[in-house]
Amino acid sequence: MKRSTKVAISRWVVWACLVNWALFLLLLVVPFTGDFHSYFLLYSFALLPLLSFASVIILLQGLTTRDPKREKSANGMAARIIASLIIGAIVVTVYSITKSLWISPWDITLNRFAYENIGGGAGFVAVLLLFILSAIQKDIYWVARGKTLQLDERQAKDRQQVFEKSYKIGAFLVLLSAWFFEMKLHSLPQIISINAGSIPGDIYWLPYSLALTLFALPLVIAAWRKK
Amino acid sequence: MYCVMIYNRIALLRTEQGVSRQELAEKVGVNYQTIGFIERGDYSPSLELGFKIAETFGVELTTVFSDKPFPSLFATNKEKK
Repeated sequence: MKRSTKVAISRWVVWACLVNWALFLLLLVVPFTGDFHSYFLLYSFALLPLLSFASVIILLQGLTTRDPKREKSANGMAARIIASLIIGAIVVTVYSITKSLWISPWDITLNRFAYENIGGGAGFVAVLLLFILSAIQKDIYWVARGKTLQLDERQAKDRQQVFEKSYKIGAFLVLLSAWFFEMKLHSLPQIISINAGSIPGDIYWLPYSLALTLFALPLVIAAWRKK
Repeated sequence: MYCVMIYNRIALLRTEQGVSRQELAEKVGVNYQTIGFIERGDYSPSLELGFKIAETFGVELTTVFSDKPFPSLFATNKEKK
C-alpha cells in the first residue's frame, strides 16, 4: 500500500475517533433525546476503545505525516491550537469538578452530575489531545521505544530551553497548588458533610489535573515558542 | 544573555557549488531544516558545526561566517568599476 493511502486512512481513523469521543461525551451530559441516544452510547462503548487504540498506535507510529523525513512543526498553527485546547480542557476540568464538590447529590435544582461529567469528559479530552500534540511534536519530544533520540545541536538546544522553562513553571505550579490546598484544607470537612460523609470520587480529578498539566507543560511551551 | 548576530554566506556558497540544503545537512550531520535556520540567521551554529560547513565548501571559516554583514556583490562590483 502506498504511504499516501496509509496516511489518508490513518487521518480518517483519528478524525473518526475524535468525532466519536466528542459525540459520546456530549450525549453523556445532555438530557436523553430518544432511541438514537441510547443506541449511539451503546455502539460507542464497543467502538471507542478500538478506535482509541488504533488512533494511539497511528499517532505513535507517525502515520499521519506524509513525509517521514520532514521535521514536524513543534510550534505550528495546529500545535498552538491543540496546546490551547489542552489548557482549556484542564481549566474546564478543574472548574467543573470543584463546582460539583459543593453541590449535594440530592440537590435536584443544580445538576451535580452534569458538572462531574463535563469535568471528567474534559479531563479525558485533555489526555487525548496531549497524545495528539506529542505526536505532532514527535521528532523533538517523543522518544519511541527502542529508538534513541537523534537530535542535532539546534534541536537539542531547543529541547533543553523548553524543558528548563517547563521545570520552572512546573515547580511554581506545584508550590501554588500546595499553598492553595493548605488554604482550602478547612473546607474538606464541609465537602465530606455535603457528600454524605464520604470523599467524592471526582475530587481525584484535581491532583490528576495537576499531573496532567505538568506532563503537558513542555509540549504547550514548545507549541507557543516564538517562531 | 549576550548574543552576537552571526552573518553567513551559506546560501551563496550552496548556489555556487550546486549543493542542496539536504545534501549539505547530510554532509555535516544535521537536520536539513537546521541549515535553513542558520541561513536565515535564526540559529548561530557551534564552532564545530561552523568548521564542518566551511570544510564542506572547501573554504576558510571566515569566508562563510562573520560577525559583520557581508558586503553585497552588487556594491562590490560597482566599486570595482
